[in-house]
Parts: sequence; C-alpha cells; structure tokens
Amino acid sequence: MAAAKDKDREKTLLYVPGEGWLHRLNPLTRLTGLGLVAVAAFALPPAATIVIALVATLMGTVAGAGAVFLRRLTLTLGPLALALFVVHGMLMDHPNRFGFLGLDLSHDGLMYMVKILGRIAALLSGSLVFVTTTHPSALLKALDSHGFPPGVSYLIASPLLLLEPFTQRARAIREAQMARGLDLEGSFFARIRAFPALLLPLVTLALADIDHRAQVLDGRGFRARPRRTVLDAPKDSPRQRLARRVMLGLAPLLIVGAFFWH
Amino acid sequence: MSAPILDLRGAGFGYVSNARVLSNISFAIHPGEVVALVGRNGAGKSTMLRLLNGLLRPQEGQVLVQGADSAGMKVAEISRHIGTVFQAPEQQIFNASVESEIAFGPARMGLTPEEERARISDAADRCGLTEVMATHPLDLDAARRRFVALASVLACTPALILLDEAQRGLDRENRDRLGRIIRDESAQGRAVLLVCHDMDFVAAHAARVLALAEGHLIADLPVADFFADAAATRRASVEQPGIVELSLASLGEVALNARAYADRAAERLRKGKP
Repeated sequence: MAAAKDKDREKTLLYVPGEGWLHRLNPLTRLTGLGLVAVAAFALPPAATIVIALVATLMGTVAGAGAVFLRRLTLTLGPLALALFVVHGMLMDHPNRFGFLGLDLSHDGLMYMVKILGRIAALLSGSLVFVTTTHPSALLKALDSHGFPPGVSYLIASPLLLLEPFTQRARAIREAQMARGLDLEGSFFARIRAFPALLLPLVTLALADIDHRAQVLDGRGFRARPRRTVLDAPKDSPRQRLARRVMLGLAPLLIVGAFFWH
Repeated sequence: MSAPILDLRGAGFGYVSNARVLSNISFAIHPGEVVALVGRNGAGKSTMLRLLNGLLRPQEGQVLVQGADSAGMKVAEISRHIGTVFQAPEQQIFNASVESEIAFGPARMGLTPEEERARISDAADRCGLTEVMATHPLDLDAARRRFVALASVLACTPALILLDEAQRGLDRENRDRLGRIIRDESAQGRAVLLVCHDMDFVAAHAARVLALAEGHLIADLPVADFFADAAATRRASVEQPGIVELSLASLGEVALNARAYADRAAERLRKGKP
C-alpha cells in the first residue's frame, strides 16, 4: 500500500528517481540551466529553439523520463500545432500563399507557427528536464544551503511543493462527488455540467488553505532566522559553480544578441 | 433473512499488480444492520470503502449491490443504493447554502417538488440544521459541516450508508445526535457501515464487527464476541472499551455498556456468585 502511494506521489510530481549525471547535478545548476533555456527560447531564432527542445528531450530520455516527455509534449504541442496551423497557416491573412493538397496555405503563417511552436517546445522540454530530475525538497535544500532567505526559497519551490497536495485533493473531491451521484462517466456534456462541482470545492479549499499554511509556517518559526541550517545539502562542486556563472553571464548576452538577429 | 444490500464474494484488489491490498473478502450486509469495519492503519479500510461505493472495482471476486454485479454499474448508479460520508466533508461541499447542498442528491432523483422539499426538511431536522439552512456550509463549524454532508446523504435515502470516521472530533451532543440517526436508519430498514477507530462508539452502536488485518477479513462477529476474542482484537490493533475490559476482568463475560454491566453484576450477586 505504501509503495503504491509512493508511486502515486511520484506521478503527481512528475519526478522520476534516478542516479544519472543529470540527477546528480546540484538543483541550482539545473534551475540556472532552465533560466537560460527560458531566455534562449525568446532570444534565439526558431531553428535554435527546435535544437534546444530536441537536446532537452534527449537529456530527459537519457535521465529515464522518456515516457513523461512523450506524453506531455504530445498532449501540449499536438493540439497547439493543429490550432496554429489552422489559424496562422490557413485562416489569417499572411502573405506568400501557396496551394498544397487542395489547401490554401501561407508560407509566412507557417513560419510564424514554427517560431511559436519552437519557443513553447524549448520552454516545455527545458521545464520537463527540471521537474523530472529535481525533487522539490532537494531544490528547497539547495536554495537554503546557498543562503537564500527561507521566504524566497519557499516562493521558488512552492509551486512544486503544492502540486502534490493539490492533485491529491482534486482526486479526493472527484471521488467524493462521484460517490454522491455526480455523473463523471457519462457524456461530454454531463461532464461539463459536473465541472463546477469539482472546481468550486478545489478553489475554495485552496483559498482557505493559504491562511492555514501561513499559520503553520509561522507557528513552526519558518522565518524566525534569516538562514536555515541544512543537514544534507545537495552536493555542489567548483565546476558546477563555474557553469552556473557562465550560464548567468550568457543570459544577458543572449538578450543583447537578440536585438541584432531579430 | 431478507436479501443483502451488499454482498462481497471473494473480492480482492491491489493498486499494483503484484501486491493485494485486499484479498478474498466475503461478507454481506442486510437491511437494518449496523456494522463496524475496524482495523489498524493501512489495513485496507479506505480501499474497502472505495470498493463498496464503486470508486474502485474488484480485480478478483464480485461486489453485488442489491443483487447486481457492481462491475456493470456506474458510480452514480451505485450511489443511489450506497451513500458515503467521507472523512473530510469540505471535499464534497460546493453549494452556497446548506439547503442547496442537501438538495444536491434529491434533485437528481426525479422526485416531485413536495417530495424533494420533505426529504430536505427531514434530513436537515434530523441533523440539527434547520436553523442554518441559508448559511454557507463553509461558514459552519467542523461538526455541523459533517452533518451537512450526512444530511445530503440521508436525503437520498440510500439502502446503505458508509460513515468514514463520522464520529471523530464530535462533542457529546453531536455524538448522541449521530447515534440517534444511526439507530433511526436501522429502524427504518436501512443499513449503516461505520469505519471507526473509536471502540466506545462501536460498542454503543454497532451490532456486528468486520475486522481487517493485512488485507484479510480476520473476523466477522457479533460485537460482543469480537471484543471477547483477544486474538482478533490484537491483530486488528483494537483497544477494548473500558467497560468491556472491566466486565471481562470482573465477570468473565462482555458487557457493552454500564447498564448491561450493572444488570449482570446484580444477577450474579442474586445467584450468589462472586
């Protein structure tokens, strides 16, 4: 039972346990890498963003998260690509039109589609590399051990920390409503009608939870001292510190460079 | 005996294929019965509840609800026969007033407006909510919220109600109210299954105990027999109620409440037994 729950928890977090080099990196190195990918996704031309997405997907697959990447990228990029193709490739009044398989397409519209898709693919795959190889608690420890104030650490890690309880609560609400007769196994429209019964308790409880969580943190002296002691800080090395500095230095260069090549 | 509301025949379930959380569970619950499901933490009680209300389906054996195999029924269909009050009532409350929350179930049952109003009013009255019908349920205290959840189930008049730790955290007055509701349901021919760690509450209200340990049903006994079975109570990690301990130690038999204890003690004195 406990093993099943652990497995459930990992699914919720998207974290995939592993011992590879990517997992062994200090979480701050991965976080800095993600920041650089975010900047590059907007600064670099489309071809480069596609390369970033492919490299990130390869890294994720090597780290043992291939299935997560395949599912998330397909579910997110598939519908988006279709919508962009229809809107920008066919419907919008972009120039350079041509006929293909009976469709009236726009070359400029398709290029715009590739540009948007490339950016989102780079951002998404970069984020997936981070969340599949970084456990929220390890990130929190890394931030604390590098002297970040507890409030800032919590702010950065809280989206990942809250994901699990939020998903579990959503599941519990779904079960509770089904058990009292809410039909979530019926037609599409029946499910749409049932949506408020799922969403309202989730939002109400989440709002009520904020206050409770703040009280618990205060009650446990969360910000009593400006720094927290970490007993088992994630390993770091001079090489990783150098890599982080290089990445932090590259980011403004990319932003400046973007003004030239766009 | 009348046909069972719920009939488990060798039911089993596991979250992962090679580990069974529940194995070969067989028991039946008949109209009017009040049954307690007990067992240590992690014994499979929550999984059992989900099997009973259809949120999980058995991977072996069968769960029959009013004679029909639950495998072919939607959860919404099963909920017409089996109502569940979960541990956290907040998770099922979403309407803006107590009245509309209680009306959620009856509104889906094809009742006339008069019938629906009567059911809502009756359920609210039994749960002590008549005065707060216009209040937002989340503005009520925790005990009343639980009674809102219970009233919303009672208004649907299911044949079996599953109460998951419904007595936990209730004060004396509210425990008594819950006890009255359980007795009334039983008297009206409906059944109640209590998932409960509070053995005083079990002794006071249940007639029969199902005990789970390591995913197996280790006891299905009348409540007095269960408390007299030291091996079963130990395996289920159950603490005997104080009155049971006292009666076993002093009389050598189980008395489930102070009155029964006094009667038996008086009878022994009359017969000249020590």
